[in-house]
Amino acid sequence: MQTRCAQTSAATAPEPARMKKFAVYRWDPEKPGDKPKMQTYEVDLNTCGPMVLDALIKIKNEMDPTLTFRRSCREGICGSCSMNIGGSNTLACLCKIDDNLGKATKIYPLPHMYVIKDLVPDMSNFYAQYRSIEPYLKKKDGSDKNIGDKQYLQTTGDRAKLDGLYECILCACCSTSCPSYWWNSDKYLGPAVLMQAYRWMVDSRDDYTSERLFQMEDRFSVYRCHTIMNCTKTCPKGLNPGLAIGEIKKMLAKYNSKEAKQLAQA
Amino acid sequence: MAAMIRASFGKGSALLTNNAALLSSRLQPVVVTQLSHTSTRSQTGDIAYKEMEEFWEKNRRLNRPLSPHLRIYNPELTSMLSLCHRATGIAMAVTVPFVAATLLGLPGDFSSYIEYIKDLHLNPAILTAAKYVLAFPICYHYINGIRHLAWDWAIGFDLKTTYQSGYFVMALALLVTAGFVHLL
Repeated sequence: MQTRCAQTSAATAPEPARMKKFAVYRWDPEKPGDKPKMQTYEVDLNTCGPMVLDALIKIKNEMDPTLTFRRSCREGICGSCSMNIGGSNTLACLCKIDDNLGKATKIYPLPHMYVIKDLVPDMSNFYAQYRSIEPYLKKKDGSDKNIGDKQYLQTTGDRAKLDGLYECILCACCSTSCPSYWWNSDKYLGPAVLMQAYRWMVDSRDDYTSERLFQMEDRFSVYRCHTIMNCTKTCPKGLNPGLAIGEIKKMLAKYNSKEAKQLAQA
Repeated sequence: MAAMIRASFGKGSALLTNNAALLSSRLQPVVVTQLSHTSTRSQTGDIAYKEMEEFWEKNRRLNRPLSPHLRIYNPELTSMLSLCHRATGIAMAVTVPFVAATLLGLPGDFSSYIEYIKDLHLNPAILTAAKYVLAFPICYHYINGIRHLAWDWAIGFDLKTTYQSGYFVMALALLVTAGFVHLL
């Protein structure tokens, strides 16, 4: 009886706290004259979930409610919590907290983006660039009243071409990891948008491939890509935007641009 | 067309008149309208370009800070090798014509300058180091250039191959450089 009591009391002894430091970028637009700075928080990993997003939510709930960041699905499918963690762009909900208690984890917003507050960047330019490539199916058979009458058939081989392209969640990790996009985000479209442009070019159901390629015929939209390949390295979904851009460049070299110009201006 | 010229002059005058604005004007979209073929742009495209212009106008007006980039981003093999390619390319593009032009202008042929360097009796370690510095750019840029040519054909783009080829290129470049320095 006594030994049993000793065993159960030993089992409920509290574990020693594992304190991890998080250094987070802070900037408040409401504070006049405020400069961006780093603020360090200490989190007990024993009472925290395994991902960086868990730590951020814990900090916001228990220590500092003013900490501001985007988040939604917490499972790596919505793309809201993209940020720079430990020097690389990734999704906070998929990034495991580094167990090394001796080092602080540094958290910054996505690089070279205008900051709205703390870890929240202004994504409007990124979304506008996505809109500019017309990311929807365009058919040439004219009449709108026939839409929905028939299925647009596609072979399994043609459908397979979309694998690795359609899974993009537009988190912007890749585009904001690209130094070329840092220096030219006004005119260079960036890996994410270019991969989606390629996704529509290569879709067998879309009839506007030549026109889509012709839209890229200038010095900046595609050709600021210098195959640095930071994009593929950082993609949290394991996709390959660098390859998609390479394929676009190949298509641009091979397609008939004069014919496309005539089609586009018709 | 007139709008494009006006916009480009606008940026030019900003650069000339205000140095402080240089940094922010660098971030302005220089003739975003010039990008897409205005005559063929659809309504969606028009909305998109309008949104882009509003983005730049709003962020400049609100004076928002730009999130840190170079100083916080991890140096990856991908970006470091690409930087090396650019650096060696610029180094060669600058020094080779410069040296050639200088040798053309200066008296005597280049063997007399080699004699002059020999007569300086420099520490052989310095000479070897200098030889490494001279040989590395051409070796690295040439071998990585082949990697770039493969990429132009969309070969070897997956991450594993990119990393493997990257390590291979760097190792081979160092080997060939060492070969040039010690064997020739």
